[in-house]
Amino acid sequence: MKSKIILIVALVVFMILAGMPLYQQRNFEEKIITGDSVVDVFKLSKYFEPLEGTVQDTNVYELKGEEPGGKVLIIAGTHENEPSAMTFAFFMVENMKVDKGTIYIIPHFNRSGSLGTQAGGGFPLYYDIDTEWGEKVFRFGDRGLQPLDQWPDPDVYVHYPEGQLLSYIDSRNTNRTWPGKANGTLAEQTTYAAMQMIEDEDIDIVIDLHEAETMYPVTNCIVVPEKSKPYAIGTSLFVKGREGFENHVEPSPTGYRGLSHREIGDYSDAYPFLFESPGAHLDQITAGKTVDLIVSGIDPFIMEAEKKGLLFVPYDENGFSMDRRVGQHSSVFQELMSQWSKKNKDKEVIVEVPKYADIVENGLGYYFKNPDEVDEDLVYIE
Amino acid sequence: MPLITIFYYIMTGIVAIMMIWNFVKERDIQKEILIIMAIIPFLLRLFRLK
Amino acid sequence: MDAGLIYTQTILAGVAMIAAYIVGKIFKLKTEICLLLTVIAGGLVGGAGLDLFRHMAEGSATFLDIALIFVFATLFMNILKESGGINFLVKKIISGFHNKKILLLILLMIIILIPGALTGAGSISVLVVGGTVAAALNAMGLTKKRTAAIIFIVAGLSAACPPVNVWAMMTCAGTAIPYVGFTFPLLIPVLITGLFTVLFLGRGAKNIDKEAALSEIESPKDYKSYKIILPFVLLIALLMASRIWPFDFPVLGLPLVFAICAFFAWILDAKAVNIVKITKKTVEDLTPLVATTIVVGMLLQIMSMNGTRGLISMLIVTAPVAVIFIMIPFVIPISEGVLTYGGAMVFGIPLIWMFNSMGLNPVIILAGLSLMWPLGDALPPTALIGRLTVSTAGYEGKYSSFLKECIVPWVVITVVGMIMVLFSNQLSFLMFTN
Repeated sequence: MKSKIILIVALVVFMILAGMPLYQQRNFEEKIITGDSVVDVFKLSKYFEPLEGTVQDTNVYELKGEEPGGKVLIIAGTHENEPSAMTFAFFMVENMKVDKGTIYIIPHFNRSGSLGTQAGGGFPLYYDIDTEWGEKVFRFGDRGLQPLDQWPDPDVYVHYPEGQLLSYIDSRNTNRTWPGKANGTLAEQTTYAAMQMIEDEDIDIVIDLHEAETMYPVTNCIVVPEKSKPYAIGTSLFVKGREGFENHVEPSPTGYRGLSHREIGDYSDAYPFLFESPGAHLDQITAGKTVDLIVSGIDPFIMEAEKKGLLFVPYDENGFSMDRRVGQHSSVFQELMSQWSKKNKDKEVIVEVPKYADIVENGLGYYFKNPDEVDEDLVYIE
Repeated sequence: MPLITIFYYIMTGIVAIMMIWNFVKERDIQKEILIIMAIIPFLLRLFRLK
Repeated sequence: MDAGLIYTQTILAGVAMIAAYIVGKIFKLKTEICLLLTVIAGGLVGGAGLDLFRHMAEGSATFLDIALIFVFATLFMNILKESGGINFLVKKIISGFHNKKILLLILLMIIILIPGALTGAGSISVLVVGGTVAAALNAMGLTKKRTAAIIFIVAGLSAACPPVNVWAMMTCAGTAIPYVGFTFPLLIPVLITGLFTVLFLGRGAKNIDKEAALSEIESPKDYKSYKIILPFVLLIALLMASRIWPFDFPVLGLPLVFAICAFFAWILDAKAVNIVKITKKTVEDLTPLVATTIVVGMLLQIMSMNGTRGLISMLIVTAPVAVIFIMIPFVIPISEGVLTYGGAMVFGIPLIWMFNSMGLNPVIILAGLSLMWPLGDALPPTALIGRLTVSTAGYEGKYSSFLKECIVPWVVITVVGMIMVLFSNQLSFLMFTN
């Protein structure tokens, strides 16, 4: 009897100590400051009502230029464990000036994924960026929706509408559920809502922001279907020439379904692009999964793999920092806008936002204002 | 919450209740520890923590 | 942080984990409790502090669905067993095939292959049909040890068998390779090695003395065959429906499929079966197994958190290629024995990337590796399916003797798997219809 009481007390204490941080992370409020170009903030359910009130009913930030032009949708947080995507989205909403065209930004496309880390992954619950006023804290999330929000998984995920068999894990992966399904799972409904948005708003370009492992061949690159290729090639060549970093072009495989760069291209008139920057923390072979690893991208085990020629990115003891990853996203995005605008004069998109060199020099934190010191009408909760 | 998900919570609850019942009846301390270990994820899900 | 310090800290965490496991064993604690001590030591030395509890909780959730499958699949079978349905089925099989031993062995192999092939879990094969097949094999004069070996090996192959191979699927998901083209590279070796296994381990099997065998098996006199046929028909229907109408049929998930079938089986024979008692007993019997899956999830989490998982996989992928090939037959099953499905994530993903970048065919290699992963389910510390099999088959001898009985098919499967790994490009034709 005594042992039972001790064990029950231990269980209760365990549940409190373990449950509190999980509960706090799921309810943690990130603050995003809207910049001068933001004209509206609304929910994704505007395009697909059944999403309303669900965890996936995420914020969409509309940034408009003085002049009309092309329309761009930027999706961050498809995979919520690839943090340079979300950080870049926050950075753009706060800092980007749009001169021509309209840009829609979704910082947490897979919002459910941002509310918990991968079970078994050993990751921290938050990561932070140093600023002049303190640390700007972000939730660190998971690749897929949380099982708390989409349960159960099928034994095998059958992609809609192509019928391809994918891993059951991918049923919660919003980069396998494109083009979505109106009466499907929450993940499928999320991508369906985005497809509706692309159609309703007549979006010209969709950019899906990601990070990939350094050991994965499809990293540090732009993944595109055939129709987007000319723009991507131009972008890749120019960023190398002007900014001095590699960002090659990868073709979107026609036989691998459900990915944004495949299905958005096939099921809409928009031109999809998927940006990959190297996230060392995603590799299997890293040392402990710490905040420092996520932000600095420095890892001694990956250096060993580099010595053996196993990596697909240039990697040294300086790692691949968040500043570099966000900087790359920024420069690649702006170069793509420039390539697009050259060939589509009637749908030009002109933006101004710091690029790679500035971000690396000043540090990302330099660009984030203290949300407690700005007009509270400008602050939104993510 | 979809009906099927509700069934899953019920199923998780049933397993958790059975584990508690077995815990009450159990006499071997090591088996008691095993039950306490095994019940953790069921409780985390029921309380919607993980 | 300094690279040297990171190495030191990671190695220290690894040493602490091993030491904790050994201490647990010295005190004769159960394997699951030893693993729990390993988790705690790894977390504390790895610098988790109070966050240790959160890590343990997160890790525990890794295989929750698998634990639910275990419980409800076993409940389904226990209800059928309790109602006398399983004995009835065995009697029918014996009556039909008592004098055709080779045919009977092949039939039993197919019976074991189906549930695992459909669900990707060898444990489901053991839980759903293991008891029935064991009874039939015993009636053929095979020892319980050999019976357990047959069931274990073929159940392992069933998990590797298409259409659902969880190791391949998990590795595909982690490497962004589509789960396409696996059907024949998996099916052909599974059938070849499966046939070898039943014929080799089934050597010495006799035609069954029908009358004697039937008289030994008790079953209710007025048992109606529909009581066992209909629940299985429902099970197959629910499993098939999600494939035939994937876009119209709701996602039930395996735990609910088994729960529905269990409920249905109980409804058909509600008088004979006390559902509350049998559910309680099922959960009680499965608690060690569930605890194992839970603690393995915690172990995965802590090994990621403290870097030991990364260190081990880094040491493997940075080894010379020849050494990697030599290590594969050992590392793959051992990783399964320690981490169960986690082995595919820790080793499968970097290995496939590495082989892919060498220009080798990742589908054939992954198919080859996934023949070897299930073998590890008999290995300690978890020995998840091995333990399940020996208890299902009623084998009460030494566990090491059971392992010895598995050696020849184990070696054959490893050789076939390694041929696929070493000659992946030459064997690309196996993907022919996809």
